[in-house]
Amino acid sequence: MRRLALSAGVVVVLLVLQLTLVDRLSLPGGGAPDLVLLVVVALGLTGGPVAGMLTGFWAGLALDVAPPASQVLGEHALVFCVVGYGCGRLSMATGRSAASSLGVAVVAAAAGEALYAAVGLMLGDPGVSWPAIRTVLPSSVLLDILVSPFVVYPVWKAGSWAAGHSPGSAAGGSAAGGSAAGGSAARALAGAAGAGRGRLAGRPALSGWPGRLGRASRLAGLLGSGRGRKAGAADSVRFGKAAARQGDGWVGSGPRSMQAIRAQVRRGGRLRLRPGAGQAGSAAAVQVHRPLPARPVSLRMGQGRRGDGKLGIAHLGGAPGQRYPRGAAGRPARRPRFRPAGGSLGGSLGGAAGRAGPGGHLPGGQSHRGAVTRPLRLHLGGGRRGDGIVAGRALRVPPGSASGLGRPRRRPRLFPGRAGSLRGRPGSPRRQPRFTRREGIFARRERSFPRRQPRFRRGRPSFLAGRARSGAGGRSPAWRAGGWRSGRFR
Amino acid sequence: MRDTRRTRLVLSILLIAALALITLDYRDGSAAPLRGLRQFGGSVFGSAERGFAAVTQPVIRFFGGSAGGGPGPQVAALETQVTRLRAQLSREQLSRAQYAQLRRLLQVAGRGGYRIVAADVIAVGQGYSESVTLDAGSQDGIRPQETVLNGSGLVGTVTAVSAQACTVLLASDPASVVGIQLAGSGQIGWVTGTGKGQAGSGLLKLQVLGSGAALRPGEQLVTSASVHDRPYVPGVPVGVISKVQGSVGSLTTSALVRPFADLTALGVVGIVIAPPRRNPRFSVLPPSPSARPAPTVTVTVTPSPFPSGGPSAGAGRRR
Repeated sequence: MRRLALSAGVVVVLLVLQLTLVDRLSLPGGGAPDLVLLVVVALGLTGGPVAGMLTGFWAGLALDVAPPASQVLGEHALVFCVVGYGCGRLSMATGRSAASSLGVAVVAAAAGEALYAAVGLMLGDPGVSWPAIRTVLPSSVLLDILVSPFVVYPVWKAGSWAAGHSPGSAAGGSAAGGSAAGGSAARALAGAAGAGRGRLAGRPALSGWPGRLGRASRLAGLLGSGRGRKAGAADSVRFGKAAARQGDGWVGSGPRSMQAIRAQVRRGGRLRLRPGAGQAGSAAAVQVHRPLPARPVSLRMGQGRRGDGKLGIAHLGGAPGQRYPRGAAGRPARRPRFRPAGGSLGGSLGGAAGRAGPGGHLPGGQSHRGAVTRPLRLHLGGGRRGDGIVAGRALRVPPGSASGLGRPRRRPRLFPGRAGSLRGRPGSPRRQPRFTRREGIFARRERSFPRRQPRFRRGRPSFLAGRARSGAGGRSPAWRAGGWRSGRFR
Repeated sequence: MRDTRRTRLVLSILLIAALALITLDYRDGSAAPLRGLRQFGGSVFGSAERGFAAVTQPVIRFFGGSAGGGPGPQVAALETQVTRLRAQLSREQLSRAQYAQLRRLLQVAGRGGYRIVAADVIAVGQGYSESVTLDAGSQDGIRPQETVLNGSGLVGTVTAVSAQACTVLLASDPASVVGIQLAGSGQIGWVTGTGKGQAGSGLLKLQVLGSGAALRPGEQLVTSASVHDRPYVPGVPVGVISKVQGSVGSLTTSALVRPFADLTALGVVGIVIAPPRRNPRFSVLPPSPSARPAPTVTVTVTPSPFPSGGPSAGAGRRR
C-alpha cells in the first residue's frame, strides 16, 4: 500500500513538474526529457511487470488528461503501459545490477519515445510528422538518457523508504560488514530472499525493497530464485534474479553467473557463498565482493545428509569473541525440525541451527546489531543433489519467537511437490502453501511462490547439463533448466 | 512476479482499455465519459500546475526559458497593459473601411467591446503538441473557443477550460487553423502551424484563396472575422509574410509567416472575452460619453526684443 501511494505520489509530482517546468525550458534540439516515462521505467524495473504496467497505464492516462494535453486520450496510457511491462520483464531477465538497470532504462526510454511517435503517426496526430519526429525524437531520447540516472535512482531510494527500511540498514549494511551484526545479516538474507526475486541485497540504498520481508523477520520466500551475481558495488551482495520456474526456490544460478563465479575464482576472488547443490530449491552461488576480513563470519548452508539441507549453523557475525559452533556440514545436534520426510526435495532449513535465533534470524545466528566488524561469509552448499535447500517460504519466522522456525503459523511444507519431489511427503497438498501475505498488486514480487506447483524434475538432462556440472556446485540439471531456460526467458 | 497468466491478463486488459480510450476519443472526443475524465484531470492537474507554477517560475526565469511574468510584478503589469492596448488597437485596426461603415451604421464605438482577462502560462504541452495551460479558468469567465493574444499578436485559442485553468492551442500547432485577412489587399486565407521541429521552426504556413493573389514578403496579416467571434476575434495581428512559396498550379497561394508573438516564449497573455451575448443590444448602444477633461490651453507670450521690425527689415533686405 505504501508502495502504491509512493508510486502515485511520485508520478503526480513528476508529471506536474514535467508540464510546468521541464517542458518550458527551451532545451537544445526542441525535445524535452520525459520524466513520467522515466518514472514508469524505474517503477517497472523495481516493481516488476505488473506494477510496471499498472503504473504506466495510470501515469499515461494522467498525462493524457493533464491540462495542456491535446493528443488523443489514451496514447500515453498505451505506450507507458507497454513500456512498464517491458521494463518489468527486462529487469527480470537482466538482473538488478546498476549497470544493467541503467541499460534497461536507456533502452526503455528510447523505445517509449519511439513508440509514442509511432502511435501518433498511426493515429494521424497532426503534430507528429516525419520532420517533427526527426528533430524531436533524437533530442528527447538523448535527454531522457541524460536524466534517467537522476530519476531512476531517487525512485529506488524512495522505494526503499516506502518499504520501511532506512536504506542500507539491514541487507546492505550487514552484508557489507558494517554495523549490523550477523543476525541482522540473516534478516537481510531472509528479507532479500523473501522478496521473491531473490536478491540478497543490493547496494545499501537499494536494499530496502527486498529487505522488507527481512524486517518482518521471516526467511520467506524462495531464497533463491536468485542467481549469484557479481555486483558492481564493493559492498554489495547480490542475488540476481534467477530462478527458475515458478515455484522453484533457489539461490540458483544461471550459466552466466556461474561463469562469473568461475571467473572470479580464477582471478583469485573469494567465493563466499558457495553455490550449492544446484538443485532447484537449493542454495547456489552468490558472491560477496568485499575483501576478506580477518575473520569472516560464515553462514553455512550445508549438511551432511541428503535431505537435511539446513541453512545451517550460521555463524552470523557474533560479537567479537563470541563463537558459534561451526560445522555446517556436520550432523545437527538436534534433529532438524523441518526435515521433510526423508529426502524429500525440500530440504530444510534445519539442523541444529534449524531454529531461528531470537527475533527470527537465521538459525544459529543471534542478533548482534551493530557488532559486526567482519563481513559475512556465506557458504551455501550441500554436497549433493537435493541438499542445501534454503527452501521456500516456509521459513518465515515469526518475529520474536525464540525458535521461530519451529512455530510457524502453518506447518511449513517446504516442497510438497507432487511431480518433482524426490520423495514427496505423503499427503502433502498439491498446492504450495503461501506464507506471505498478499499486499496488493504492488507487493506481488514479494509473493515468492506463485500458485502453480513447483516442479522439480529429476531427470531431463539437457544440453547444458554438462556445463552445469562443471560449474561450481552445478550438479543437477534442474538448476539449469530453471535458471537459464525458464528463469530468464520464460 | 513472473510472467504468469495473471500478468498477461492484466496486460491485455490494460492494453484493451488504452485502445478503447483511443478509439472513443478518436471518434468523438466529446463523448460523455471522456469529457468527464478530461474535466477531472483538468481540475486536478490544473490546480496542481497552478500551485507548481509559483515555485517553478523563478527556475524558468533563471534558465531564460519562457519567462512568465518577467522579472517583477511591475513588468507583469506592464505586459498586461500592453496586451490590453494591443487588443484595443487590433479592434481599431479592424479594417478601417468596415469600421467606418459600422460606426456610421450603428454609431457604435465598440468601446469596451472586448474584455481581456490577463493570464499567465503555467504549463506547456508534452510531446509533439503545441499547447499551453493558462492560470485562468471558468472561474474567471473563460469559455472554450476564445481568442488568446499577447502584446505582440495572436497566440491561439482556448480549447478546454477547467475551473482554474484553461488549455490554449497555439497558432503554431498543426491542428490550429486561423482565418486571416491580408492587411493590404484584403485577401482571405488561413494560417496553420507547422509543428515542432520543422526546418523553419516557429513559422506558420499561410494559404490564400485565389491562385492569382500576389503575396509579397512583408505583408501583414490580421485575423478575419468568425461567427460570434469564435474562435478568433477579428483584427488581431497574426504575423508578417516572410517567404512566399511557389504555388504553380495549385488553387491556393502559400507563404510562410513569421508570427508577431513569440510562441515559444510566452508569458502574460490575454484572453478575449467576447461581448456578452445575454444583451445583444449592447453592441448597438451609442458610445458612452467620454468624461475626458477639456485641456486647458495656456498661451505664453514672450515680449520680443525686436517687435515686428526684424522680419520686415529682413524681407526688405531680401527684396
